[in-house]
Amino acid sequence: MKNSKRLVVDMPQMAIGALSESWLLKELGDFHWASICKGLGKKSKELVNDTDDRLYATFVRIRYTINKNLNSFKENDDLELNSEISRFGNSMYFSNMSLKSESAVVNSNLMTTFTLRNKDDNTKLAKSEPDVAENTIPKELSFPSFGAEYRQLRKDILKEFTFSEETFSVPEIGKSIFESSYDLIPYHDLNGVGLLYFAAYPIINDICTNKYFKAHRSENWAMDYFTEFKDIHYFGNCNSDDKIKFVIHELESLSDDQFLISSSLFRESDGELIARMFTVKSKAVR
Amino acid sequence: MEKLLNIINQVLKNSGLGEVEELKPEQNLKDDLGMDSIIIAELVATVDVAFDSDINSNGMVQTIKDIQVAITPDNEK
Repeated sequence: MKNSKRLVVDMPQMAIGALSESWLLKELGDFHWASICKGLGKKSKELVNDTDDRLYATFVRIRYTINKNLNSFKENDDLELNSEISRFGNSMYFSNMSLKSESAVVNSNLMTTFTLRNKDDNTKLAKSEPDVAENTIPKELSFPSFGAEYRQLRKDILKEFTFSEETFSVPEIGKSIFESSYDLIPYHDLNGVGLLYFAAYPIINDICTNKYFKAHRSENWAMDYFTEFKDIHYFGNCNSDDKIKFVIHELESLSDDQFLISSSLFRESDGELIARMFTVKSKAVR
Repeated sequence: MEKLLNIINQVLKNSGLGEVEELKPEQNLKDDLGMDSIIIAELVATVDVAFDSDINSNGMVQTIKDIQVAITPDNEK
């Protein structure tokens, strides 16, 4: 099932010197969610399971690659967002999306499941599936590789990942070159139902990575380097009174002005891994 | 049920989990086979494709028996 929409880059879509990554994530996520609702013929608030419990879309993995980097999107650019969604079974949904301006393109893949929220504890979300009479979203006949790679990383058996047709090793989860603690900021880290928002994970990652560059490198990371690739694997959520432990496992210089960072987020309260990320940042338009 | 055993073992293998020699109705997918929610979702979808079934139609499956019952044609139950 294909969907599309047109957008314009104005100030709400911008961050310092680039397209806002936070806005990008919210837009992609919202379009994915809207595509699911359209396919199921329901409004989001009408999505319930067979016991009438409200369901929420939970992001499992999001990957995006920019042909240059986010700095190549400029104010007043006209954008075209195209998506194609499919599903494996009744609970796993996969979108391929492209967001194009005249000079740049973001290609992205998103995967979600449905969960029931435990109102007292965000660390105990249960999987479920919607109770609908008709579902017009086409079915995949086998588990897409995008999901299979996620499952392998979750089990810590994924050995490699690819960026720009090159293969890179997945570092061991116990390896650490930098650690930092992050206090959740409810005003922008939590969503409408009190969960750590999927769009907040990569931004927390970037805020903490910036701490590393401020402390250990001379580069002006936040101002000079822009996202070219990000692959986010979500493994858990956390409560609003918890803290995040951020770890950089590996930092690799791919060229004079391009870095690959492998990192993770953990819940401080119990040490559980809640996300792994692979990020490539590069200096203003290459 | 050899077809179901093969599917379950393939999903277990793909997930880095130990395969099983036989299926027992009382086996719990999480506690006995070590599957997490994503692996169970993959198993459910794979079984549905293979058996043209909708095994979660009467609630989320938890045990091998739940799957066996769901994929057995009504006239054989």
